[in-house]
Amino acid sequence: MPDSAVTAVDLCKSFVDDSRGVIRAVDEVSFHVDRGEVLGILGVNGAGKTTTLRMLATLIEPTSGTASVDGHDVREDPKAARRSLGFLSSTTALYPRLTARETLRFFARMNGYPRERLEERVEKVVEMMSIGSYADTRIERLSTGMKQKVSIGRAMVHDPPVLVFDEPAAGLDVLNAHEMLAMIESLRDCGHAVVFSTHVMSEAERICSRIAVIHQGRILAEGTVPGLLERTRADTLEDAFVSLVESARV
Amino acid sequence: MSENLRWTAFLELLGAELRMLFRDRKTLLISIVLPAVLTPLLMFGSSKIAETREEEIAGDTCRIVLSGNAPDSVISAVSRAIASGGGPVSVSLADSPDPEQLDSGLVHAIVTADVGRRPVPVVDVAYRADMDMSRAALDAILPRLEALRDSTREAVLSRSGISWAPDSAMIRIEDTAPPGAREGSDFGRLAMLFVMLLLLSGVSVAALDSIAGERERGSLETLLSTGVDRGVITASKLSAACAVGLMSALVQAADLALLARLGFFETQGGGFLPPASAFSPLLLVPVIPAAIFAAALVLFVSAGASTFKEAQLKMLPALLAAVAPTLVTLFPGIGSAPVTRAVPVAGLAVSFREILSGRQDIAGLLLAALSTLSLAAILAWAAARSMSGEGIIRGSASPEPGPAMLGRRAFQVYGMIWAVNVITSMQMERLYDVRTSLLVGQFLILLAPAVYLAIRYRLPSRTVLRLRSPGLLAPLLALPCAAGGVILSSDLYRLASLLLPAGERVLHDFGDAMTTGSTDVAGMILLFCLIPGVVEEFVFRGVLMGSLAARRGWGPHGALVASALVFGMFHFLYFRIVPTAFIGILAGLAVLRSGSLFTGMVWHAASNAVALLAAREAVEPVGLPLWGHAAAAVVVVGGLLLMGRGRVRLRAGRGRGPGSTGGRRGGTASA
Amino acid sequence: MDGPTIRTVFGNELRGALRDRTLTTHFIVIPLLLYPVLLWLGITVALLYDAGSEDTSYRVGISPGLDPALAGELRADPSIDAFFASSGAETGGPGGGFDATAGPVPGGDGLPGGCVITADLSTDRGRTAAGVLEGLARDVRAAGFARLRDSLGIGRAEWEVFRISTSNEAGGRDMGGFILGLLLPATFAVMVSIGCFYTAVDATAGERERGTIETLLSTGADRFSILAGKYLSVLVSGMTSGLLNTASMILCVSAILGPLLRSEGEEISFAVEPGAAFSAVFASALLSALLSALMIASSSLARNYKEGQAMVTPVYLLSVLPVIFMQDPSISFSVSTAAVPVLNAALLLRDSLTGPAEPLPMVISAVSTALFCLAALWAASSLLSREEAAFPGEATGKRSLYSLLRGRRNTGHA
Repeated sequence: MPDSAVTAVDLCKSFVDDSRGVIRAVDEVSFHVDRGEVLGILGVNGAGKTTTLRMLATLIEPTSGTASVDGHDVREDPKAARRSLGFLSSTTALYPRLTARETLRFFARMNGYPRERLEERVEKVVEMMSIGSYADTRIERLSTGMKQKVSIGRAMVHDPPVLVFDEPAAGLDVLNAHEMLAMIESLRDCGHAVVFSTHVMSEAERICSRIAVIHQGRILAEGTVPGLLERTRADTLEDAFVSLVESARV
Repeated sequence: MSENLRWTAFLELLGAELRMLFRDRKTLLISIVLPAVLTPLLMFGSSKIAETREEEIAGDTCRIVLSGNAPDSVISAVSRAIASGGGPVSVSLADSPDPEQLDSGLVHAIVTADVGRRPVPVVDVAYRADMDMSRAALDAILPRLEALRDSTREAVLSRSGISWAPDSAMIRIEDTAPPGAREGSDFGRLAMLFVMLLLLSGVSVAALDSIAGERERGSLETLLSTGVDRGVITASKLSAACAVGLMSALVQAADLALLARLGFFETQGGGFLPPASAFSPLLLVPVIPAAIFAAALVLFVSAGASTFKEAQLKMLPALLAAVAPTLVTLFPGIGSAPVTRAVPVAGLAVSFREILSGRQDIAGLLLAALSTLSLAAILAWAAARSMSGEGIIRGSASPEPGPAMLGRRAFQVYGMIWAVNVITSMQMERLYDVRTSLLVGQFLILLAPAVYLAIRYRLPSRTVLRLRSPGLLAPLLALPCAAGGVILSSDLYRLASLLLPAGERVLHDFGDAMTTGSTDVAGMILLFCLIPGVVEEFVFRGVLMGSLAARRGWGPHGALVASALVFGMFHFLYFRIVPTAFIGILAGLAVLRSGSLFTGMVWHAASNAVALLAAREAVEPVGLPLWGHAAAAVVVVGGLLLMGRGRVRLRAGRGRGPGSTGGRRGGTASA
Repeated sequence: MDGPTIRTVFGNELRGALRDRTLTTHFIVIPLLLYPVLLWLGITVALLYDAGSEDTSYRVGISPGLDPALAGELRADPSIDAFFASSGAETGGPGGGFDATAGPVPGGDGLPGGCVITADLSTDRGRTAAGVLEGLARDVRAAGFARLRDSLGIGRAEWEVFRISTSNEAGGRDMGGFILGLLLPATFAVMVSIGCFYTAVDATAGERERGTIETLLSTGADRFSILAGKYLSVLVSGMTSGLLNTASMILCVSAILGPLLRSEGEEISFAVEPGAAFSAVFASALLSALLSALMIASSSLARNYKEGQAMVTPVYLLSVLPVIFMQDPSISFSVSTAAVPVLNAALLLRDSLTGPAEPLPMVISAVSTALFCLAALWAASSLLSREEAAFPGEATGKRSLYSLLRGRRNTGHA
């Protein structure tokens, strides 16, 4: 495909802290993601992963540089950019007093999904995520795993071409995390472009088409897993990551 | 844990509580500093506006129209008297004044001096009570007319050689109280109310969030997992809350007092504060138990809630309950009774007022402090206990509708029914006759919502509502038992009226309402006995008691007492609560013992019939000899015991027989 | 702004609010329950007070020289235990002292009923006893003068001079409106305010606390529409609360005051005319429109429910302000007052109870409220779109409220 689903060009984000002064959280980050591809953004806590993804989701505005989602510039047309993506992070919670089905319906409408196809789509997502047995139970009464499934359903209910997952498996148990990754794989195979951040190497290794290692707001390296291993002459992704970060520190 | 360790833990926790509170500067600013600034401003603005308004009224000309067919001498005397009293007044004469002018405010009062058939002329002042210039005109005219009359009388008497002086000079009241005592006593009427409100609002800042909020954030679990016992946790939270409450109340009170002294706001009577002599350091003595009580109450509320939001919600009724007893000083009869000293909070309010009016009743003060502190201790203990309970971290409720769910909401739901009942019954008494309002009350207001609840919460009709056959024995036993119950409840009523006396007049009115009405006996029995028996038993013993019993930790007997109390509350007049609640307990016991709601219905209907009969024939159970009361007790207890026996047999019979109906018949027949 | 988003957010917020027991309790259950409970308490206390005073008797000392007619009357009165006392000095005290004493008035010789009553007026008993004595003395004096008049041969007409009567020309409806006008507007403002309060805090700070704000902002809806939807739901709950409370209060007031005043011989009607009902709805819309906007604006910076509450409290206090101005009946709903927010709604409600409201001030008040609302919503929307507001203290660093308000929308462009 000629156009990438997501492109980021020289994204920068700095902010002022009353005690620490000006801080550059994200520093000239550029990447692109094609349809049917998963880009893994790998970094330690505080590396700038969340800020980068929030800029993609137009929740915060870049200080300089720009990005586009499905051809919509996040600065020029943030609304269209948001409609073209589904954003999921560990802090995007669900309304506890709505039922699962109501949640899906609500977010589909919020993203401007056509009214006449709405019910059909909601039912399809309910089936896809296999949440039918508790679709009419309020979110507050669901278990963490159930909530997570509804959350994924919520993010993709308006059928966006791009999905942005910010540490989606954080706080999940082994089985739920496994299912989560399987879901991302199947989304990738359906032709969605997925941006996925994590600090867990095995997750990244398993599903990412390409990986960008981010540290202190900068991208240190980008490429396929074998490519990264070759570049750092390491045996595992973990070793490759550590050596990249170490070399950046020097 | 050794004493020393406990003490260290206590101080550590107290310090942490206070530190956390003072770091939350936004909350402190808004809940303590802001009111300290705004309240005086509000009071200042309010007194300023009242002042300007009064000046306006005083400066405005009172336009008065005078007319009438009285002799000219009277008219001109009245006219002179009204005009001469000072202030801007214009009096004009008119033959037939237009009342419209009064409505439109062109004229403030119309005075008519007429001579009718009687020899004495009548001076009528027509005004409008809803217009304040008109009320001011009335206030100006009346004393002037009275003065005119007084001076005429004086002249008449002096012609006969007798000197005369008006009532105001001849009947004098002299105050023997020391200077300032009366102002102090006036101020003291509402002083404790304000102190309590200030304390509660200060304490809420510190304590309302302290258990519920910690539970919500999960830090309570962390705290409880340490080696500190719950008593120490509660004590430190209590002390922190108490300190903050006292501090904020003192700040607000000092703030107001200071500004009042500076003359920041002043009303016509020279300010609302009594002279400084009324304030003594002794005033702090009732305030400290009040602060401890407030802290314990707020902690108790906080401990009973799982989130801050819920705690807030529960705070409103708690606030009303805590503040209501302070109003005792408004009622001379109740406020001065010695018994009130033993009532928590109310006693403090009385003591507080006594100190303000310069009296020092140390024994009463101690009694009041003791009773309030005991209640505070109970509340604190309950708060500590609820921290250690199973539901501490989070009680997850079953989402399915059923008796347990209704049980949790029962008080709220029945409260609403009660409220609707209060409003409609008062309105209906005006609009309809007794029969209609009784029927509407029974069927629409009581039965309909209860049936709805039974369906909505899917209450099982046999196990929860106990809609099953009682057999023959239990209903038969219920008849004499009901008569005995009425006698016992009237004894109980007399006992209760020692504490809550019923006025003669109210009793008379109530008795009249009971006995007047139709003379048709069958109609009376249907209306006052059968329908209430069936409906109220279904509503209170069926739906309410059944669902309360399913509430966690309640059981059938807790549900019995609680539902009987609610039943008593539905009888509205305070002196009927105790005897009707007692009847409710008896009927409830009959339901529990016999296992059937129908026994309760029979009991209730019979009980109403006996009471009605006694009222009609003017028979007082008081007139019975002592053995009569004893016999009543024996009949009631014996009857209830026998009902249970019948049920045991019935169960056995059911086990033996192939069909349950057959078994039940067999069981009752053999009893 | 787009309609469907506003509708969706509005529906979602209302549904959420109705499912939250805390919120429904605050704006539905409490109004329905509170007034009847207060009514019941009032009646119970009044009855208890009646019963308590029925069999109270006062110890009264009679000093030598008191008018014998009055002394006889005192001894005959069932509520008075009369004793002969040497002087009036023994009043007060819980022991054997008197509640009050009655003695002769200096210079009142030969005239009936004159007396000096001494009592400790700082005690309730002393005060009540003095009141009872005063009433008796007046009666005795009137009866004594009637006898004196007869013995002197003065005609009745000459003595009475004239009778004084008063008549209130205000109709039952006027009086009903007047009484309600004294009671309603202040509580009305507070109740609308409470109705807005919890929903507003829940829709902004509560949402942030539950973490749903990020989910909502990451959808394709624009922020102003989200805010508008939330705003409308807060407005509706404020109106509901205000109207429910007002209706419940009118019912209870008429239930207790109606019979009470009727026994005094006044027929007072608390019926609300359709015109007044319309004005009340309009007034509650005005007030909740303004308070909702202010509350949403002030709580949109809060990180959690508790903080949101603290921030909204000043707005809540603002709604109490009209109470002050309500004391002055000469301030009415007119062209000039209609422009003042909060006050205009309270005045409109009060004045509509007694007569129809003028259309021009109503239009003015609507325009002025709309301007205030737009300003507040604009502020809320720009606060909401600040990143620092959406993720306080997180990715964008911790900043004080002041620097946040002062700071530009984006630090990069500063």
